[in-house]
Amino acid sequence: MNHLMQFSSSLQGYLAVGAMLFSLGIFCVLTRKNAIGILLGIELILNAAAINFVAFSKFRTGLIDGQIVALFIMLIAAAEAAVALAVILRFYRLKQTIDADEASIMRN
Amino acid sequence: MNKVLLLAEILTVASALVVGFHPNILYASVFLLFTFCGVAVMFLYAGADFLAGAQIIIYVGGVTILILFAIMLTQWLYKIKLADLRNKMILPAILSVAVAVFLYRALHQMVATLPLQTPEALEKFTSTPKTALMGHALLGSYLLPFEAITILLLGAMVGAVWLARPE
Amino acid sequence: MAQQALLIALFPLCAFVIQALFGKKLPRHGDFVSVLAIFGSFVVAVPIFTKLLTQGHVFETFQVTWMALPGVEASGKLNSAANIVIGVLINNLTAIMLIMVTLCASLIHLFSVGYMHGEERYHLFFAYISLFSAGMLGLVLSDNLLTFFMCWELMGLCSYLLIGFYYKKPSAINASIKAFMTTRVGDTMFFLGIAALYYVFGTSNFMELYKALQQGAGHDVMIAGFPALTFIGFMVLMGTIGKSAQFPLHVWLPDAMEGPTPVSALIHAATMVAAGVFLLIRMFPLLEASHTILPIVAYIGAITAFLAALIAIVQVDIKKVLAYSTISQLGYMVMGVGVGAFAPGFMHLITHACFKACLFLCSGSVIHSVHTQDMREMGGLKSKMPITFATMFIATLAISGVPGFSGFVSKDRILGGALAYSMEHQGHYLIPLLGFATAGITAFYMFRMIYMTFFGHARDEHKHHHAHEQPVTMTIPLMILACLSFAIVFAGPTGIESIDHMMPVKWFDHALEGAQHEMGIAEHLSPEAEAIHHHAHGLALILSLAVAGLGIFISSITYLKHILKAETLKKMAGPVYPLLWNKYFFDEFYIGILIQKGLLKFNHFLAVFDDKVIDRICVDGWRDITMGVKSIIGRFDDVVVDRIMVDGTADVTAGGGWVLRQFQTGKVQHYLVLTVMVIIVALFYANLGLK
Repeated sequence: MNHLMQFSSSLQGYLAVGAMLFSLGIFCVLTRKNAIGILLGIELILNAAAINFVAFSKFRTGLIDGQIVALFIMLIAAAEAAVALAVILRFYRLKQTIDADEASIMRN
Repeated sequence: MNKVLLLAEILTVASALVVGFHPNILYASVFLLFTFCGVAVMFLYAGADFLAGAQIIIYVGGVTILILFAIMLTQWLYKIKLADLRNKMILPAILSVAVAVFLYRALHQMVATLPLQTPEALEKFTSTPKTALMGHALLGSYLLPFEAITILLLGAMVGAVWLARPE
Repeated sequence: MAQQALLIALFPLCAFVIQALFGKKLPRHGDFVSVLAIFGSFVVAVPIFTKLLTQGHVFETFQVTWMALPGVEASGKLNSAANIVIGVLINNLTAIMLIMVTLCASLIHLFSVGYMHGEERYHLFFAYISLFSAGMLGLVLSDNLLTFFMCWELMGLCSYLLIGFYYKKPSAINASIKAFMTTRVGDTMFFLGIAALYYVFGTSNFMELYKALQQGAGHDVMIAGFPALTFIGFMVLMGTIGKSAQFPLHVWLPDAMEGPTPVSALIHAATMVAAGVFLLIRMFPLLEASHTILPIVAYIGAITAFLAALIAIVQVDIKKVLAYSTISQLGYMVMGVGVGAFAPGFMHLITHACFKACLFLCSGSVIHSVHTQDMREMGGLKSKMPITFATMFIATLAISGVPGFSGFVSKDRILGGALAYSMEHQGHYLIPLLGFATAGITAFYMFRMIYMTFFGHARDEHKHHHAHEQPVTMTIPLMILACLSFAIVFAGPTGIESIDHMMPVKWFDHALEGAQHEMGIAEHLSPEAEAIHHHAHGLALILSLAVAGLGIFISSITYLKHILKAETLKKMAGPVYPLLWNKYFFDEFYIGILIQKGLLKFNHFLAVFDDKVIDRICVDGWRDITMGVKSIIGRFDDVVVDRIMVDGTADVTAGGGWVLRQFQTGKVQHYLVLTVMVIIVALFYANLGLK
């Protein structure tokens, strides 16, 4: 238990959590048919990346560059979420579904 | 104090598992919220106090609510089966596990060869407030990316409004 | 001036285009377009004619190269034929023809406005007569046989369209087809003649042809075993026979009366049929050079004149009488050319055009008034239609050869020429005999027509009651044409000094002398011949006056005074009457024997020949050989080329496509799977490198 707590606060702990979030995000993206589900997976992936940046910022450099990049990731994620949801709404209005498999053709 | 971090990490991973596996998209969204909270705590312990606050405001207050709105707008809550039709899970599961293993192994190996900060420096970094530093950095050496991001956000907003406009 | 003269033909052509395209939408269905166009042509033609009158002579040419034929230069003889040059020739003949055609056409256009009023396809009628006018004027202006022939055919087409104008009448359709097909016989031969002429002389230009003939070219050339000049002359004569409705191709003209009356006046009296005679006149030097053709021409003309005149006696349809009279008069012209009385022949062409147009328009006026063409239903119209009667009577006097009228001058001179010819060439007595007989018969049937139409009592009270004089647009042309029926307009010597002195202007003869000089056929009569001609003309004058008077006298006592019963004449004629009534059974002969027994049998034979020999042996045989070769090539093609090369390539491509298509599902998650796989591979190698 003590060992586990030691690991959790180390760089490796952060990296492990990041890797798990990343893989779960990929799993989510790959398995969900629902477009919103895919969006959830993407958010997980982005968060995993942000965790890694923040972890390296603390343990490797001791500077705030990594945190700045993590902030940019968040902002980009927010923008992406807004656009993605708008696209999903539009798609729903067009096809009365948000099944990502239905979006297999470029034309209307 | 490390117990809180461990709990946060467990919460993050457990919530992420629910996000990944729960068939109901609504539950998945709600658990995504917990994941974000866990990540925020992790940020806090990594000395990123400002980022933790931003994480709560942007993800928990913004993105998750947005996603919940989208779900409610696109699926009739009581009528439509919220359970997602899942693709075959075996290949994605294998791929995900492989990604996790290889990613962690690669990073772990890499970290082992790198010089790290001393525990004193880590303690100092963690205890330093970052808000003022972030502000100076964003309006100093990171001004150009910051402005680029603002334009991106503006573009995203306009684009989202344009896409979601009534016919 | 020659370029401007082109306008004469272009005005009606433009009118045709406008009428054909927009006629229906224009106010009044665009009749003013055609009328103004032809009047414009008349206005352009007037200065040319005035120049002829004042200077006594016009000669203008304008030529353009239509087609430059490369490579012909190398073959020596055809050197001059390298380029096909077309153009305009304006000489005395052209000037007179132009003024005559434009004037007649203008008046007939004007008459048509009244006559055709309210008809269906009114605008098309004007489009057609405009096109016809363009064709006739183009023909007159042509300086070469090529464009001459084109315009000639154009008129044939218009004739077809206008005869069949009442397209709902089966008889009109049949008549139009008959006219077209009959004239085609002549036209085809004429075209052969043009080709032969081009072969012999290397040109189709009239002036160059005259020059070549004066130099004695073409005398030693043979075509198909005949001397070339005779061959060409005969073919040209056949063209004339078709177009001018001469025996034995005269059958179409009476049927052509199915067309509207102004058409009959314009095409089948004044202009188109005259084109055939005009052709003979243009080609006169060539006919003269061949020696053997001219007597044939003369006999054909004489026989036509006589036979047609006889048929005219028994006709009861007013237009048919005029139709046969036209054939008869055309026969006179042809006879005139044949006996060498070239100038009188041409003069008769002009005078006849004027008075025959007048007669036709008058008959049109009568028909329009009483709504019948049968003279037996007319009678007593003199008081009802005074202007029509007066003008028609004047024209009748002209055609009958009464002194003081134009027909007398020209016809008398033709008869004089014929008489002189028979005196010079012993044995050709038949020509003047038929000529004089025809003169008498003409006077007889023309007065018969006048008496039956205008004199006596009304045989159909109802129709007589509704008869009325026509509007001004219709009577003015009649009056103008009637004025042109007076001899004074044409004047010229009759061969008798006393009369010659009474006629002040001799423009016509001066013009014709100039024309003859141009063509290299200026007459240089020996004193004996001069004496014969003088004597012949004197005799002809007396004889023609006598026969005309006799004809009028018999006609008067029969149809006016009824002293002599028409029935008695009929009985006296015996079997001749049914012969005449059935027009010598020409139609029956053509249709029953020539076409059904001959042509159709021949057709049948050809069909069988085509079926059995050409199709079975040549075509099918060739097909069998081809099929054999084809099957070998086909097998090779099938197995080697198609199966291995073409299909093989296709299969490789398709297989590759199938493989690639598996990755291109369009589903975003499939792409993501692949992306993740690539990431894993990259990470795997990263792990390897780290170890």
